Amino acid sequence: MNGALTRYRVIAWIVGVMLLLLTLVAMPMKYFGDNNLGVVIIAPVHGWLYVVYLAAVGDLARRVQWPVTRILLVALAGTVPFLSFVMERRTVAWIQGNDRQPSFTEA
Amino acid sequence: MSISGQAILADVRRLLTPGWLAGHALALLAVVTCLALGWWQAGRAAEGNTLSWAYTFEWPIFAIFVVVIWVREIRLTLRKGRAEPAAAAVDPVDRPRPVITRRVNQPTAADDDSGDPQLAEYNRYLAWLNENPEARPSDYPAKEYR
Repeated sequence: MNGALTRYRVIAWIVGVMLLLLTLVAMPMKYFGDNNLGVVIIAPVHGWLYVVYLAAVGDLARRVQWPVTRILLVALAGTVPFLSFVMERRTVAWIQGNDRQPSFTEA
Repeated sequence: MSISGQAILADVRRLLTPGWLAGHALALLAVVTCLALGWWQAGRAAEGNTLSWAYTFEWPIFAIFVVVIWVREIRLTLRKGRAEPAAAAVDPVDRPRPVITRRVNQPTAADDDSGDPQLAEYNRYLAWLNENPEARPSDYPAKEYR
């Protein structure tokens, strides 16, 4: 369980950072700077990392008794900039048994 | 009808509730949408859009993810339906917990430690355990007997 959670957390962070790179760096480069390079490199990498993210979410779902809506929510959160980091914290709270809203001031 | 036939029929009925029918429709819609988007990207890739090659293969994988979650829900529902009669018979939570007793040797005044500091310490340890029946041996403050 801890291994699956750790795998999920690692890939969630990687996908989250890649998504920020894509939306905050590569896309402005393409549409304002007329430079396609960032998108050409980052978009496929992010796409395949998101596939790995889905695998990690599926693996996690196999081990917990979550309602299906929550699984889909966690899966889709990986596609929304910034939300992936929030969802990563919620997921850790869900797994570790306290359904309270995690306070974001905690380290 | 055979027993297994009835069991299968009961399983099928469990998956045809209004909620489940909506669930099947949503899952099917999601799978078809993913496959259609994959097909669309395959067309764009064939027209020379290199970036679309990745999406051509990713969308079918997203469809597989939907199917995996769908199958998981079906299996959970069926397992829940089958497990309920058995679970009522043996509920591990409601069973009384076994009583664990621990016999502690009681040092008495007659105990002769013969001036052996180790034996004296051991007797103090036993006396402490006797005075604190709730405590575990590892709670003893002295280092030697932790």
